[in-house]
Amino acid sequence: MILSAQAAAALARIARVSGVRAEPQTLMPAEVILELSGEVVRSRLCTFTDASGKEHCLRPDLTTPIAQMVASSELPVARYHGAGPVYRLPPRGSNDPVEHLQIGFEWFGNGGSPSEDAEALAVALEAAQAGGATGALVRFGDVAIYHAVLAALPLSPQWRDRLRRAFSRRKGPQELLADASRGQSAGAGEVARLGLLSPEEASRSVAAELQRLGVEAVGRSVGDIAARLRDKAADVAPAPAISAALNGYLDISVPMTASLGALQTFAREQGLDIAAALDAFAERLAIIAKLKPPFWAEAIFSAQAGRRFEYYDGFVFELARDGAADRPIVSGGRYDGLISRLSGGSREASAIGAALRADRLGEGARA
Amino acid sequence: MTTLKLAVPSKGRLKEQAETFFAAAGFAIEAVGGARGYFARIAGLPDIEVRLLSAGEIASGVIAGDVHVGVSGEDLLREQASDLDRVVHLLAPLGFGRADLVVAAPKSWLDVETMADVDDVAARMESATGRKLRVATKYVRSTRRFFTEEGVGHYRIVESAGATEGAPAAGVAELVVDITTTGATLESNGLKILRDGVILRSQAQLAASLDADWSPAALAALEKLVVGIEVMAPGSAARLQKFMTALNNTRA
Repeated sequence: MILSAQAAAALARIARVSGVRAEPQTLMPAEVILELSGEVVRSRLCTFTDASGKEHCLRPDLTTPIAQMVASSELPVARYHGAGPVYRLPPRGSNDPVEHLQIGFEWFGNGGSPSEDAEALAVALEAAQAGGATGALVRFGDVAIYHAVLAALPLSPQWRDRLRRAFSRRKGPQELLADASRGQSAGAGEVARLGLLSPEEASRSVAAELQRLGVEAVGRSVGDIAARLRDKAADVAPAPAISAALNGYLDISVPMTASLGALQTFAREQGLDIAAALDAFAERLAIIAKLKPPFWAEAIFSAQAGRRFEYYDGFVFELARDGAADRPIVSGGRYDGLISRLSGGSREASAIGAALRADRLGEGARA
Repeated sequence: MTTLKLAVPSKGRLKEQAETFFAAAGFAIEAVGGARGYFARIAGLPDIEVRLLSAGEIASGVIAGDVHVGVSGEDLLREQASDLDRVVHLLAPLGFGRADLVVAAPKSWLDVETMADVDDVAARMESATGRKLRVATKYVRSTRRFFTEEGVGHYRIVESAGATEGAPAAGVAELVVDITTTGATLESNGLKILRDGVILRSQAQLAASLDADWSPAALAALEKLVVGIEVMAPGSAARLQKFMTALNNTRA
């Protein structure tokens, strides 16, 4: 593979601090991607089926196959960089090519400090600049603050889980809260009654009901159904003030220079203890300020940044041209949970990475 | 001269109902080359060439623009193109071939009534067992689209070739997405339709392709056909006007 001079310059900036070059295979089991990101990504995946019915796909990015190699101990926990073609089916009406060149890095196992976040951002932005990107805007966020806000708000455990998973979905937290305010998550009378019973009594009650209906327990056990009915009975939809607080957080979108102040004001006004997450945020901003990466001075903090990705769980950032936020040149972020998920919990490693799209580096630069 | 290619179902109830519908509008479909041919004509409309195809082939033919118009189920049309409205206009609901595309769960799942319940159960199942909830269906794209809109994740689709309703009892999936007319088949297989689980209320449609090769003669023939069925499917003429406008826009 021959890199353009611009792509080579971007890669050189990354390689300087990103260990050895990882060479993941082009083909991977489709299962890995689908288990990670769900059926919703299937329409973008180049998949095919072998004679035994097993599904394979062309890698949609470099992050997943490199992380997969670390999760399976094929590679040690360390810093890596990579460059190579990745494959995504464009949505209908889009002129994006199926194949594009991705340049990036994945750093594993440094414990995930604010200074590593800052360094990763600076390297990614400097690489983009070295690759010829101009006139672009950084949008950044911190998924860990969202998780801290959820933990600090008086929510039922069920709603906390629901709102956490909704962050990366098209039907997001704000839509779920809107449904709740319209009373669309109600529990029936039967549910409330079961909630008063002990686990054993609830199971007996479910078994009796199934007998009355003349059906067997299919797919799930009587105990599981009874346990969830008790959960449902204990579940309480968020009160309007709690919904308003969470919506208020998700609506935060301010210049970087005002972001810490906006978050501190939000926490104080809502009386939420999210100090640990905000301290890490403040420390990260201070280190980035010293590194002075390109594009950063005009960066925008957005509470919803990173929503398009399933696995980000901390600092997230994107670089895109003004008015083309859906076509990022750089996407990056922290994904400390990914190695554990890919290895079924047998391996853990903090992780942060970023990917540059070589085809967008020099595209349509503004004067 | 290019004639209007109209595709109608070649077999079963849909064929009979389509023929009855067109005959009642004064357009008797007459087979060309014997009763089992693949081509037919409509008496009095020499500019229309009728092709006899399966309902699935008609849906893909209209989407690809291989035929100008066709009679097929809305469920099949929407399954084959996720952005159907950009390539095909539904000119006339024909009042037959009615069926609902629904999400159904085992009746034993007393705690599951809505799609929100499905998402909760799927998340529980994944964290308890590491496996995703499985959904058996022939309607892969429609399922994916609906589950995304309803905010359900943590599931996998198991493609089913037939007898989808048996999948939960057979242990190959937990949920099904399938077509039903009365719900009786689902019911007798121990399944219940979720309260907000109706994906589509489908019926046979006269569907016109924006991607077909339209000549003035083909458009004129379509207009005659639509004017003829307006009494039986009110609003068709107005929808034809919108279709013509869209056609002009795509050509511009």
